[in-house]
Order: sequence, then C-alpha cells, then structure tokens
Amino acid sequence: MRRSLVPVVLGLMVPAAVAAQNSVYGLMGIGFPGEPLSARARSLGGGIGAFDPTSALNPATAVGLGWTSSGRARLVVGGVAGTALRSFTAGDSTVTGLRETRFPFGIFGGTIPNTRFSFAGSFSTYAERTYDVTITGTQVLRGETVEVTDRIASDGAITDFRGAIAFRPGPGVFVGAAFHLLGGSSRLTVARTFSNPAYAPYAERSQLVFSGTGVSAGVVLLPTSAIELAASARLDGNLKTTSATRRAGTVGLPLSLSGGLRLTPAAGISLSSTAVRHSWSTAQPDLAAPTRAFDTWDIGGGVELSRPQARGLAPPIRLGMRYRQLPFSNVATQPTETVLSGGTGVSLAGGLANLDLAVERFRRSGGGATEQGWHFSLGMVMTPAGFGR
Amino acid sequence: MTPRWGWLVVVASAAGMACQDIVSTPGVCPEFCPQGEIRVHDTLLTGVEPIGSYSGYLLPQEANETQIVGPGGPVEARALLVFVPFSAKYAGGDTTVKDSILQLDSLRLRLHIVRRTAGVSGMTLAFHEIPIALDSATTYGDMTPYFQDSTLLATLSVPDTLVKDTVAATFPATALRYLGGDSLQVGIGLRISSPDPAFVSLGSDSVAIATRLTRFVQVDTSTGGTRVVRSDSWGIRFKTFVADPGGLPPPTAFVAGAATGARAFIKMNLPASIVDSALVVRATLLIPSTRPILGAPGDTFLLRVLALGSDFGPKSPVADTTYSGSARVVAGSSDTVAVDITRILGLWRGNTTVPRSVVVQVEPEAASISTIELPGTGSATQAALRVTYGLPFRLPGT
Repeated sequence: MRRSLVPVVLGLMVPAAVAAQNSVYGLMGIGFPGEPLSARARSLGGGIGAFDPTSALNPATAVGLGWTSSGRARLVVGGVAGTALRSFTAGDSTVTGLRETRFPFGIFGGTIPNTRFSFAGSFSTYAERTYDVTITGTQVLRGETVEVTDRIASDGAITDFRGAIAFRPGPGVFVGAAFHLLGGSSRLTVARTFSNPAYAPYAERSQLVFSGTGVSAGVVLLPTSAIELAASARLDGNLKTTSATRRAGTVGLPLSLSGGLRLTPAAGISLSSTAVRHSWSTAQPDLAAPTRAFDTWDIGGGVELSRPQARGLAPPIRLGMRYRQLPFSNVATQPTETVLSGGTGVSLAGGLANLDLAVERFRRSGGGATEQGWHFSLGMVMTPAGFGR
Repeated sequence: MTPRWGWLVVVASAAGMACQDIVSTPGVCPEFCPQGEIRVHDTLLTGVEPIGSYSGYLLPQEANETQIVGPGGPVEARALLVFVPFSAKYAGGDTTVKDSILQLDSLRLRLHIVRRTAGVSGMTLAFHEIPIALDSATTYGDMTPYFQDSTLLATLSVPDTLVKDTVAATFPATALRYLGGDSLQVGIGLRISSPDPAFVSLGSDSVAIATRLTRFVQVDTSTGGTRVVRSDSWGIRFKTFVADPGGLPPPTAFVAGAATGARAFIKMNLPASIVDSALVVRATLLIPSTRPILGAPGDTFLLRVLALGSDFGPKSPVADTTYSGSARVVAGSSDTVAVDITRILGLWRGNTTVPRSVVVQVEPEAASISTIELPGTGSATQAALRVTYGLPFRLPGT
C-alpha cells in the first residue's frame, strides 16, 4: 500500500459528532432504495453495474469472481464502506451538516471446486431506513389545547442477502441465477413531549423486523473482445414487516429489469452503461396515503481510463454520471437524483487486493425538497493468499 | 504490503465508520414526514373502590406539628404541653454558682410557630396551667375546666407580620399553682382568641425549634453569699392537641387525616389494556367532596397518595415513597380534589407483583384537624381516575 493512501484511510475512520441521517426522501415508503454496487461501479456512475463481478446486480457476473483472466480458480472477498455528507431544504426548513456512515455492501465468491460453476454471496442495502425527525403540533387533552413535540427516529435498513450461482456454458457467455433473502431490522423510537408539564413525556421503542424473498437471473454476452452485453431480471415477493409478535404491514416489491452495454474501443479505455427499470408502482396498494409509489428508471454510465506502466497498470481514472428516479413521494411529483462521480483504485499485494475509492456529488429534488451532498466510498476486493491469483 | 495489512485496513475502516451520532431534524409535514400515527387518548375510569380507613399509625404526640384552632371555625382545638420535670437543683451548667436554688422567680415559654392563618390580625395565644397527668386518651372535654380565667398564666400577642418564627412569653412562678413542693413538673394548655377564626401550628420536630420552658432562679455564687439569677431550660415530655367533638362531622367509613392520623385505602379496578399495555402520560385521582373539607380556617394541607407494596389491610406497607402523588388542599373547599398519580401507574405497568391499591393520607400526619372524606360505594358521586395514555405507535398499513 502506498504511504500516501494511509492518511485517506485513517481520515475516513475518524468519527465526528454530526448528524447521522439518510436521505430526506427515505422517510417515505419502505425507505431510500439502496444500490448493490461496488466502489468501482459507483465511481463509474453505476455504468459497469451489469458487468461488475464485485457488484450484485447481475448474478451472471459471479463467473468473474471464480476465475481469473488467465483461467485460474480463485476465491474473492470484498466490501464497501461509505460516508455521505448531506444537506437539504424542505419547505422553510434547511438542514445542513448531516452525515451517515454505513457498511452497505459486502461480497464473497469463487469457484465451486471440480465444477464449471462459480458462486457469490453478498449483502447489500435494499432500502435505508435511518432518520430522526422532530415534529411539533397541538392536541386537545382534557379540554385544553396542548402543544406537543414528537420525535420519530428509525435506525436500520432492509438488507438484501443474495446467493448466486453462475457458469459459462460457452465461449463469451455467462449465465447465472440468484436467490434473494430480504432481512434486516430497524430500531424505531417514538417519543412525545408536552408543553404542559402535567403530562409526562413518553417514549416507545420497538424493533421492526423485515422479511421477504426474491429471485433473479442474468446473462452476460461477449460477442467480441470489445463489446459486452448484459441483461438481468429480478422478481421480489412481498416485504413483510413485524413488530414484536404483531404483523406490521406488507408491501409488494417490484420487478426489476436491467440491461447494460460495455465497450472497450482501445486498450486502457472502457465505456460502460447500465439501465435498470423498477416497477415500484406495484407497492402502491400497500402504502398508506399520502405516500405514492412510482416506477423508476436508473440510468448510469462511465468511462475508465488506465495506462500501462513499468509494473502493471497505473491507477485508473474513473468518471461517471447517473440519473435515477426515486420511487416514493408524499405528493404527486416524483423525485429524481443526479450524480456526478469519480474515483480511482490501486492494486495491492502484487494483485491480490484492490482498493477502490469513489467520490460522488449528488443532487436530489422533487416533492417540495432539494437535497445535495457528497458520498465517499472505500472498497476493498481481495483474494486471500493461497486461493488463486 | 502483505495481505494481512490489507485486512487490517478494511476492518479498521469499517469499525471507525460505524461510529455515529444522531441529531433530530425538523419534519416538514405532510410532504416529508414519517408514516404512522402517535395516538394519545383520555378516558375516565370509575373502578376506584375505597376499601377501608384506619388510624393509629402516628399519634398527635408523635407528630411534627401541633395545631391550635380558635373559635369561630368548624372545630376549636387546643394544645396541651407537659414538660420534663425540673431538677430540684440548678442545672444550667454554670460552675461559678452553687446549684442550690434559693428562689424561683419566673418562667419563659418559647414556641416555634410554623404556620398560621394569613391575614388575621389581633391573634392572641393564651397559656393556662393544666394537669400534668395527660395521655393520648385525654379529650377536649377533659380539659375544658382548665381553660378558665383562674388558670390563665399569660397571654401572647402574635405579631400580624409573623409568618414562621419563634415567640416567647414570660410569667411569674407564683402564677403556677401546682409547681413546687413535690411537683417540679409543669403542664400548659394553649388556646387562641382572635377577632376572626384563626389557627397556629407549633413545630416540634427538632431540638433547635422545639417548644422549651426556661426557669429563672436565684442562686449563690460559689465564692460567697452573692445572689445571682441564672436559668435552665427544659423540653417537652408529652404534647398533643384536642379538638371539640361538637364541631366534627359524624364519623364515616372512609376518611383520611384528623388528629387520629387516619389513612384511607383504595383499590383500583383498572383495565389491563390501559395499565399494562398503554403508556400513561397523566393519571389523576379525582376525589369529589361530599361536604366541605374539614380544616382550620385558612389552613391548607397536603393530600398524599402512595402505592401499596402489598395489600394486608391496615398494615399494608407502601411500595416506595417515590411512587406517590400529592395535591395541596384548601380547608373548607368543596371542590373535587385532583391528585396526580402518574408515577404510581408507572409502577403498575407490567408489574403484577404489586397490588393495584393506594393509601391516602394527610400530611403532616396527626398534626391538625384537617380531614378529607372519601365518598363510599353508595354515594351519589364516586371517586374516579382520569387517565391520559398513549397507544402503541400505529405503523402504516396496520
């Protein structure tokens, strides 16, 4: 590892006393949708998502985890940690200095010994449910109007655990399928205080547990050495929420279709793009008014530039751009998000590990709010010694 | 770098990034509000059942205060004080004088007034000599013959500006008819006279402020035949107060307070859906008046409600004095008394080991004539419990 990277890593480790909040758009529906992307894919605007073995969008890419470019079997583990710095304006309220740090993605995979199959196991954030909101209002109690201050806080996420298997049926073709287990939980704190001290403040704490299942399948085609095509589909069932022993709602989850194109016109230049369509409107019947659910597009693209040097490759330059629609709103307007991203990576330990950095500048708007901020990701993918190279 | 270093970086990064603080942000409703509903309701529960009233926990001679109530109010009450017997010899501790008493000159009675009727002027305390053979069975009628002009020792005008202070009156030793000879003990009764109904309460809860009787005597100096005046001071052996039974209401089953320090026990028959499942934010015990609350004119008292730890009838112990509620009550009022007992319901929430019963008592206990009557089961108005409670957060879709 280069010494210059040490301060960067240590800097990301320093905790700070600022707010931990996910997007203001995560207050609605089942939360703010996550992205099963590696740090490398994030720096490319998600464009490489449909092809990236270290992302969890397309199960066919698990082939890439199991075999090196030279055809040797291996085992790979990796993960991403990210920090978002954020501010938003909603109505007359402007809030700055919000921060959230998460470990939203991890993956491992490799070759199933003595077979042509590869496998991948991963976890990723399906929907983020972290917020802490204070609301003031009034209530008539015992014939008098009492001012109340409510605090509703949630800390947790819906997590997507994926088990994928893939193989290469022929030259230039990868196919794969996966089973998704949705889980996770969030700690919900609801508190109310009263302006009249005769009323005792109260707080209720509960744990919401999420469960659900889904399946996905995908394919990657390599018709030429310069062109890659990918497609995948994912069908999720219902997301069930329970609180203690009681059922706390069910939400229908979408069908997701994705497609991608990757071009390598010359050595050291890679262009990639991925588009995903989610039919989130299927959740509408299960959502309480005034929340609305919209179908969404998630389109991203990026370019990766690298050049050979005396020993291996120089750190690549990655640039990307992304546009996506957000699925939930409490008004008729669907919110959207645009992201400009960049990043790089270094190869460590003689190629046994890769450290990737991604920086994203995002802006979200719609539904009466605007939100902008930075997202920093640090990803590590490595092959443990003795498990291939 | 070796692969081990790479792992260390990843683990350390994840651990460091997991640290976070959460700060609440203002919600913009309805556009950016979490789904769900906070529900706070209010209800009146009638399952408040008085089950008994008992006394004898604290006697007037053990109370922290002694009340004197003048005529014109609902009940007249008089204080009775018996002091520790004087020593036959001087006991003031001055070693420059001999301890043989040559002559008893006078006595000074010091009292500490802790409460009084506000706004009443011209209040006078009268001190009478009374028998020293008193006990807890002594009645107002027993003492009436001793509150005559012939037994009057002294009077003391209570300054109109006095709120809480020490006062004293001095009277000649010759005024005491029974002191001397074999009897070196003094009994003094106190009554009030004033243009308007009034009361005072005497404090006796510490040596510094307790009622004291000082004796002024003549003794010789230890060096020769020069007479000097010295004093020694003595405290109370027994004190109580007696109330005129003619002004008291007929006895009822459920009372709290009075000179007997009565306590009333109440059982709460409350639905488990509220006590065990709901978040109680306010609980008020409502005790309607069946008649004006008995007490000295202008007096107030604290009505305290405590949760019982066990239910053994009159000997039931309280759970913990922190699980209680209180309300200040004005004597003579006919208003419903409202006592906040939110903390008590907090004790009961999910706790099946403690009975859902409370004890009602007047504080300070056995120190005044203040009495509150609780309506019985056959009464037209009943005690009730008003509860404001929060239901579990209603999640969207439920």
